[in-house]
Amino acid sequence: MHTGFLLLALLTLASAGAAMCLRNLVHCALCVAISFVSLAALFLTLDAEFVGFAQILVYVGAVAILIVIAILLTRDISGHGQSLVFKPWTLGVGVGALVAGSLVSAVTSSAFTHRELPPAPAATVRQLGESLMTTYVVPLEIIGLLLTAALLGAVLLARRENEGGGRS
Amino acid sequence: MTTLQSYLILSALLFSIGLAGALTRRNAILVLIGIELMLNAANLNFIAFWRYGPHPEALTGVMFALFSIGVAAAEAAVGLALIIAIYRHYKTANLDKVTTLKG
Amino acid sequence: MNAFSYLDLLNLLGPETILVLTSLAALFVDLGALRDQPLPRRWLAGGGVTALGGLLAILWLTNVTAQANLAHGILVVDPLTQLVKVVLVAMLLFTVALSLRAEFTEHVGEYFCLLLLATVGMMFLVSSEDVLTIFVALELTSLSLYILTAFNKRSLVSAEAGLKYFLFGGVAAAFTLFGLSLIYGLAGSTNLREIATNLAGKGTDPLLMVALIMVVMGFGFKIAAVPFHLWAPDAYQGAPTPAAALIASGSKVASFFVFAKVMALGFAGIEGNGAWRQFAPGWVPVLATLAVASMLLGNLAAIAQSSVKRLLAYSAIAHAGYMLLGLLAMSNPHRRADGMAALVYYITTYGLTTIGAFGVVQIVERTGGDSLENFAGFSRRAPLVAVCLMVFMLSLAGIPPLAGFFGKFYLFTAAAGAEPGNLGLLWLVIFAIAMSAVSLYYYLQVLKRAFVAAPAEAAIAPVVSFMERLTLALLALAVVVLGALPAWLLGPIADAIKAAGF
Repeated sequence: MHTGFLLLALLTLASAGAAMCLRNLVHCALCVAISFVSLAALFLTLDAEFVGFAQILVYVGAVAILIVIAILLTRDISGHGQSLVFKPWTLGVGVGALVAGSLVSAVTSSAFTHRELPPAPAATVRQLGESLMTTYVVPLEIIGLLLTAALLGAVLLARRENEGGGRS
Repeated sequence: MTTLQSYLILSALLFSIGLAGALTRRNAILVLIGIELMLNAANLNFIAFWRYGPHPEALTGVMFALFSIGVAAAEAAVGLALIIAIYRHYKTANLDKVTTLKG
Repeated sequence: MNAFSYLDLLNLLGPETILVLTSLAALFVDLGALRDQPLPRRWLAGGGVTALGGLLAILWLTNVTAQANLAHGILVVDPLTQLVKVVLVAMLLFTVALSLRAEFTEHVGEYFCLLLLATVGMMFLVSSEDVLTIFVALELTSLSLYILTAFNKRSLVSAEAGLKYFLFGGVAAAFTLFGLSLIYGLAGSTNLREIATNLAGKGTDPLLMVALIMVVMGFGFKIAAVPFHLWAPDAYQGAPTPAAALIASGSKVASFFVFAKVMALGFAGIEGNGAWRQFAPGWVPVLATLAVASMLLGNLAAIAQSSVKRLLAYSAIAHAGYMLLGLLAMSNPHRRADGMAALVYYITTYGLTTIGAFGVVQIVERTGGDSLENFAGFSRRAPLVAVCLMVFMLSLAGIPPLAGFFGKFYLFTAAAGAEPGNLGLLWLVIFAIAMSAVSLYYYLQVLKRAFVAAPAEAAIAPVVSFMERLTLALLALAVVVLGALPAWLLGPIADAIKAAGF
């Protein structure tokens, strides 16, 4: 169990790091997909099977694919030979390191993170569905509206506008 | 046995990698990938806290993770559409060329 | 949740349902029936459908009394939330009235649909005491506003503003979510009141402080407080003007209301202390820092602007600083109702004023742009609109007897009285008053151009439609009346707060 966790954690971090460092955008997309998959595996080790599968379906199946399509659509014609990062790149990395340091030190010094692992809870799909339709029905409705708005907006923004002013 | 702390440290590191990437990379698509990594780190927190929490039968953490996956998908769709719209105008997705607005 | 009745739910969510149906109606009417009609007619029809839905929602909100707390705060409906929802829908209606002559897009149906969805998101945001619903509703609002910002597809600036707004917003949302995940882990609940109960007495845990700061960062972005304000000037300038008006008014109202609820209810007990020499960690010192930074940078940067939209953006940042004083006033549980009443009065009057200001800017834009030079001699070209502009600017500056003055007055008294005995936040109030005096300078700059400066040789009189005249006059009237008779608004607010038991 523990070695499994360590391997998955290393894979997640390494692929996430690679996704943020590599030069080739398609490689970045591939790495981030690997990171998503290993996170899904981590969800499985935490007995959250449904979230793990949802993670694979949505992140790997939809988000990563969308990213690849966007990369192909916006292939930078003039972008060769330029630096990849904003000039004071140390600033961003510094902020990241600062956040990492404070988070890790807070986690290790907090009194609330020493907990025993309780026996595995039964989170069946049936239970999830039932609470989605009762307790969480309002957020479910909101997310329906959110996806409608996103669909509408994404089509509208990505569509080519007619120069003449007519409707396409 | 893996402890809650190790999951939290992993998510903290993942969050920081995403943040550092979002702040440093110039390509808008990579900034978006950084944001997605940060959201994923939060999801790992939710699942870990749910599993180690006192009331796992309440399913709150799982629900929060599911909803945030949905939100992240919508965000990615809108973000990439915006990037494509920008590309139409500037023929680049590099943020340091997208600087008409200043002040 | 055994006896879960969807009929009750429909009853509680009546106004939201009406607006969602209206958004679909606006979309289908435009895409279906009016496809080949000329553009102005389509704007009128879409605006008419939207206004009808909005009026119905307001009628429902003012006539159906409902009070419920569903599923541990997932949905909270009480007189206070209903009142804030009326304000939100009213701001939507004014935004719609200012959009009717718009020419920035041909996608009329989609435009009104997204305006309505953004408002529905704000309404859900207002009526929840559960961080899960708050997060999802916040994202619905934000995503709709990103799209509206980039709505002008012919404009490079609009797309750029949308992308910047989106990228800053995405990072802020990630911070919010991470902070909320830590809060959930520490408190074991997503309900605000339960969070406060479970966190009681754990005030100085480092992880809790980190979570608090991350949540504040997320909301600080939404309300455009320094240092999370970077998106605001770009978004205000680049967005189509009516969309910018909604971002500056409705979105501000909803975000501030829910921010206040999260801080006062969810983090009750870990306020800390921001008073001079009595520093203790908690959200009060964090928000006090944001307030000082916002007032300072917002007011000073506004002086240097030549684009009036950017000027309004920096003025909005400064106003966010003042409004944070209302949140700080809520740190004392006994004075919480006072702080909330002052905050709701302030955001309502500020929202109305700012929509009006954007309405005037939209008219000036037709004569060439929104730079200060374009305002030269405006009073001679459009006297009525110029008078409205004067009312809005003076109210923003806080000149009596306009609504902006009384808003500031109540807010500052609430903050000064929050900690009686040790005069806790008095230094902040004094700073805020000094900063309001600075702000007078740049508001008067705009008015000086409009009323004193001679118009340029080639200046043309802008076309002002009847609807715009009416809307601006109504808004200006509201600012004057609510200033002269503040009890008209404060009375209902106080009643609603009492009835809601806040």
